Amino acid sequence: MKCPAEIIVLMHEVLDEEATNEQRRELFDHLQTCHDCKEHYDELKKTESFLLSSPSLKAPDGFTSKVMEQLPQEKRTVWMKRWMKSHPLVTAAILFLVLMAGSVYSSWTSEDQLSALSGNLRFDQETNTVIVPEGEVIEGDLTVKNRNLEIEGQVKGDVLVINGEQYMASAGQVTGEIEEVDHILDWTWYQIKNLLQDVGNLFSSEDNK
Amino acid sequence: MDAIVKRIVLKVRKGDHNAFGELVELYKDRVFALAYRMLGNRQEAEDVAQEAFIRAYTNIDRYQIDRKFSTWLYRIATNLSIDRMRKKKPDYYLDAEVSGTEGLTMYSQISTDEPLPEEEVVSLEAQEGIHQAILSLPAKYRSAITLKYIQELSLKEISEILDLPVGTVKTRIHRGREALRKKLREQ
Repeated sequence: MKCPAEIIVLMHEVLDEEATNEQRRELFDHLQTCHDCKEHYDELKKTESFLLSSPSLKAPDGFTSKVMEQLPQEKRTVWMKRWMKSHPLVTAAILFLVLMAGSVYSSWTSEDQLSALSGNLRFDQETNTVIVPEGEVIEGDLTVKNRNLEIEGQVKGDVLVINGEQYMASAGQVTGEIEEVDHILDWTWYQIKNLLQDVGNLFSSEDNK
Repeated sequence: MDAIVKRIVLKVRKGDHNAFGELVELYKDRVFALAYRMLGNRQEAEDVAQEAFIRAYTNIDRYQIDRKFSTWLYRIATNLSIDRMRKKKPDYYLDAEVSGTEGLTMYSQISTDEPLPEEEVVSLEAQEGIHQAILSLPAKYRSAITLKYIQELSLKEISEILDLPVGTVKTRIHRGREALRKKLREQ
């Protein structure tokens, strides 16, 4: 008995799970009565199960690295970002140093300044010199930046000259220390020293409590 | 899964190599299996699978993010496999008759491997049988059958990968299945 071709089509529809319930019933009813078609359908089922049971293949070892080697170069920025992510401490340290250097440098080059708690000072524009006049007594520390300093009077405290020179008529006019800072390295050192001193003071003042 | 893949793809688009490595890890087995079923040779399959990934990387900007990434990747791999199949004209077929002999085919020239435990022989034979049967199919049926059964994709996905209407895909799968049924019956 030759079965209509549409039965075969029906088989494939069922295998593809595209058949309606009605079509399924039609096929299975037919298979009950037709031996040839039953065999055909069973063979298709078997083929399908063979196909589905074929072993899952694994890509050869080192596949990924071989692919990666052949990729075009990646962008530098991406590389840097990833490096920073994987080395957070180093990144933080570098960032800290950069910011520190920036602030030290900017305080080095920032405007000329002059600070003294009291007393009258004279400024000579031509020689760019700050003068403590004779007979004048400065109470407290004196800081001069980007200017020269000439002391004819007296300073009762420390004297700090940054990026400038200091002249004295005679010794003993300054009761505290005299310090001259001429290079950015010195300046950095001075800043750090101050910072440490402040930190030290902080602790000692806490101890005092 | 799709969301993860999309996030990785976005990283790759910014040029991140390592992110692409994750994609390769995710899909390498399936892409390799696809190429192997299409080409029947491990070395060639590896070449094609690698090339598929490299193309995916260089063309990642063309991938439409709202589509399924696997569909796009399989499409590249399938097309490369079909190209490769067209280029290589086999020197000989195993079932071609050896010249100067009568009824003797190349199969008889292949030495049998070491005997193996019986179970393994059965499963290996069955595997080899189905593999050879797939390889004997014409390219258009082979690709449809491979995508359907080895990758277990839906008809709709296969139609997108092969860029064919679903109806055509169905017909190809039906014919491929019939051809395989006959092959397996012969074995």
